[in-house]
Formats: sequence, structure tokens, C-alpha cells
Amino acid sequence: MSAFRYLAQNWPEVGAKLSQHLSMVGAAVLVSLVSGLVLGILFTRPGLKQVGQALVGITGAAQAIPSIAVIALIFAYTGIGARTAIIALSIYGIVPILFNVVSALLLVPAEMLEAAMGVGMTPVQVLLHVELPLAAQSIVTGLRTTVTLDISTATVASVVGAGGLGDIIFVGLSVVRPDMIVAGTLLVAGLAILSDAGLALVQRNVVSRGLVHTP
Amino acid sequence: MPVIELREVTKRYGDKTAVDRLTLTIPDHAVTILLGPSGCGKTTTLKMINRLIEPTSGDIRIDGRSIAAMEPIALRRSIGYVIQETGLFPHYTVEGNIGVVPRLLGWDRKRIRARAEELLELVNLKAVEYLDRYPNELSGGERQRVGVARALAADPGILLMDEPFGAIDPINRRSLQDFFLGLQSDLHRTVVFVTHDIGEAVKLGDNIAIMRDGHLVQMDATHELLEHPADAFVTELLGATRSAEQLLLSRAARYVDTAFVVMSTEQMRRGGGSSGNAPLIVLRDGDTIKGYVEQGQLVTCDDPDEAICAFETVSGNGTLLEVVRTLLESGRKRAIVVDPDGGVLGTLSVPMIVRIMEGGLQ
Repeated sequence: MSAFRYLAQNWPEVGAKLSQHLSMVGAAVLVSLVSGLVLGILFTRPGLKQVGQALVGITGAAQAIPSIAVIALIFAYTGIGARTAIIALSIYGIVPILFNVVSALLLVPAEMLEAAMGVGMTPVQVLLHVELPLAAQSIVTGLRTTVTLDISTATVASVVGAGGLGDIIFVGLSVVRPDMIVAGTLLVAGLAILSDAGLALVQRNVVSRGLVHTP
Repeated sequence: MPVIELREVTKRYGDKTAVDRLTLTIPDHAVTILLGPSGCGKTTTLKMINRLIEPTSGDIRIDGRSIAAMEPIALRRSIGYVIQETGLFPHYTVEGNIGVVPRLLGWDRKRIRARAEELLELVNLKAVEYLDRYPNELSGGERQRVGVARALAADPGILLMDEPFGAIDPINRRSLQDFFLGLQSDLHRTVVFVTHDIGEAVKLGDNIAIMRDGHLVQMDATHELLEHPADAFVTELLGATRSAEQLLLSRAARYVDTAFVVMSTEQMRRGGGSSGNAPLIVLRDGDTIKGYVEQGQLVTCDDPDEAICAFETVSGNGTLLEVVRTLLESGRKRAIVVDPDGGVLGTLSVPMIVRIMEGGLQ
């Protein structure tokens, strides 16, 4: 297995690429999550629900835009470097989170909200104690999609000089070293699988057992 | 405890009037039913009492204080609110659901836990078994009991109930209604109860307010309403249940079988039983009723004591319905109806009551 030999022999350099990749993805996911939550909550408040409904349609379609197009467009404004990649990933990664936050919050039954108000919750308490817990499953699902998407898309960010694991693959491509290409791919895939498994664990803990439908 | 007064309350949605100049006084310590066909404004009226809906005009007062001047959040926390199944929060356990209002009021965990245990006991659910369950692990009837427990958590004087048993099958609904009546006879809350089920209204209501098209048609004590419907609409709404329910809600004393004689056990043993011509002998030694004996049976028994039948005593002020329920639950054939001083008024059996109803409904 020449890919593993490559990884073992070049570990310090590979490790640096891995940490670049992680911090790029980490920063982008954080921005996507916070802005996706804030926008999602905002556009599902009374009076803005129509906007939320429209948003579900738009974000649904927006997922068809190729990631490279977003990166190229941001590159035109911010040039070479990790900053371009983080901005592009942040924007691209908002889409699944926003879509899931809005659709899950819109799905909370009106009677449930009325029950919450009827027992004397303030609007903020209704959001924190009823709406978000009921939407948690779907919100974490959106987060998982974004993380997986960002980990693989960050590979492409190598073309704008953002570094990361994409560098190993692209260098391998230019010098025709299949072992490097496979090694880079294995790391990206492994990272995606691990973080998704980690988030699945998080999901199980933030979603109430009362919402898991077991007969 | 609070009286709720509605004065000239109107709610308009655009040019549609949901509630039209409704004036109604809901007495304290009693169950007042808001009854009417769907769209008559009964639920809108209920929701105006806890300000989930704000009236377009008019005034609602609780204990003389206008609720418009109260803080809506505090008002709602002081009123118990029970709605159909969806009212329980699915992501909270039973304890979490019962503790919702106490948590909002800032009670500590220990006190909430103790209150939840106490309330589960009150609604006949074992605390150890239910505290940690989620609503999707409960039956419909259990969910509704927890819903009532939740509404009672902070000990509110007023309970608003919006078709609470509407989604429950008829058999469980009946047992929930009995449970609710039992609870209310201990707690004496001021209850406003919305339903479109006439049987439920007559069974649970001390008073019934009948609404149509946002107007109040009639508000009266239940028996008054049954006996004197204000107009054709009320008569039609009450329909066939009217006469049947009316009969069953009549006082037992009015219908007792008086063909009986009273004697002591001693007198009967001495052969007094065969001397009278009444078909039934009620045995009483001093103040204690011992049982009754049917003349026919006395003849066939060697030992007169074997002919003494077990019985239930019911108050003459009770309703025929209570007599039927008592007899069906105990499995006894006859009830001895007594007046408040312990005097025997007569006896009643289920077949007799059925005959009375057949006669009355013709």
C-alpha cells in the first residue's frame, strides 16, 4: 500500500495539511451554523413566515449550485488564500443548515406553540424550550450535511491557495503520483466519516428520547 | 376563588364576528360548560380568558379585576390550561411536562419533583412508573390525565379546558369524565369547559352556556336548562338527550318503589314477614338498615336469614343516574333510598329505572 507508505514517510507535512484543512472547515462550519440558526429563527417568526417558506424553496434549489462556482466567484473578490476558501465554504455551507432550520421550525405544530404560550411561556422561552428542541433532530442533520460537504469541498479550495488536504491530491495530480492522490483522498474521506459519526453521537444526545419514534 | 365576568365582549376577524357582545358571568367553584356547534365562538371565548386571543372590544374581569390590565404571561401562569392531546410537550417527560409552569415560576427541582409526584397520585397514576416516561409512551387517557395534572401544577383557581377529552374513544372518555368529576368534587376549581358533546356537557356541567354564531343563547344551571330550554335552538341542540338525560338527572326520591314494609330482623324471624302483603321487607334494627327480603324468597327458605339480600343505600337527593351507577358498579340488585334523616323512602333497581325511562320518553 504505497498510499500508507507516503503518509508514514511525510507525516509532519501531511499533519500540517490536515490541521489547515480542519481549521478551514471548522471556521466555515461555525459561521454557517451561527448565521444559519440566526437567519432560520428570524424568518420563522410571526409575520416573517412567508419569507421562511420562500427560503425553503430557494435553499432547496441553491444546493444544486456547484461548489467550485462559489469558490471561483469569491476568489474574484478576495484573491488567493485561506480567507477566500473560508468565505466560500461559509456561504455554501449555510444552505443545508438554513434549509433544515427553517423547514423544521415551520413544521412545529401551531397547537404546540399555543400550548406553550397558554402555560405562560414568553416568546423566547417558547423558542428555547419548545421550538428548538422539537427541531433539534433536523437542525443537527443539516449540520452533518454541511460538515461533510465542507470537508470535501475544502479539498477544491487548494486551487485558490488555501492549503489543506487538497494540496496533496493536486500535487499528486501534477506530478502523477497515484499514491499521493489516494493518500489525500483517504484522509478526506476518513475525516468526513469520523466527524459525521461524532455528530451522530451529538445528535443522539441533543434530541429528546420522547421524539425518537420507536413503536 | 375567582368569578369570571365577561362584559359585552366582541371579537372580530376582519368583517367576520366570532364573538358578538357576549356578557356572561362564570360562577366560582363550579364547572361552566361552553356548548355549541363548531364555529359558535366557544373556543375563541375561552382563549380570551387567558389572553391567547385579545378581544376587539369589551371587558373581561377575574375577581373584579380587568385582565386587560394584567401582564398576559403572569395571567396565563395563574390559570390552568388543558387542551387536546397535542398539548403535552413530546420532548419532555411526564415530570417535565407537569413541572413546566412551576419551572417558569422558578421553583427548585426538589419542590417540582414532589409536586409532580403528588399530582400523579391525584390523577391516579403511579409516580414511580410514570415520572420518567415520555408522552409517546402513554395511552391517550394517560396523556389526558397528565395534561390535567400539568394544569393543576401551580394550584390555579381557574381551569380552562378546551375539548380536553375530544380525541379519546368513547369508553375511555367516560372514565376520564368520571375521573374529572371526582377530582372536581375534591378541588372545587372554577372550571370553564368547552365541548360540542351534549352528553359531556350535561354530565360535567354545573352550568351550561349555549352559544350560537358568537351569541350567548342561554346560560343556566344544567337541570334548569334541561327543563326550560330558552328557545327552539336549545331544544333542538339538546335533542333526544334532553329527555333521557333529564330523567336520569331527576332526583331518585321522586321515582322510588314504595311497596315495602319496614321491620326488625327479630320480627321477621318470628314470622312477621309472611303476615304483610307488601312484596318487599326492609329490615332495620334501630338506625341500622340490615338488608331487604323479597316475600317470595322468604317462603322457600328454611332459615329466614338466608333470604336477606345485600344492598346499597343511596340518598334520595341523588340522581337516578347515580343510582344506576352505584348498582352497576356494586353488582347489587336493589338500592334502598333514604332521606337525610335515615328514613327509608323506598327502593330502586336498574330494571325499574329502565321502565321509568321507557315510560318517560314516550
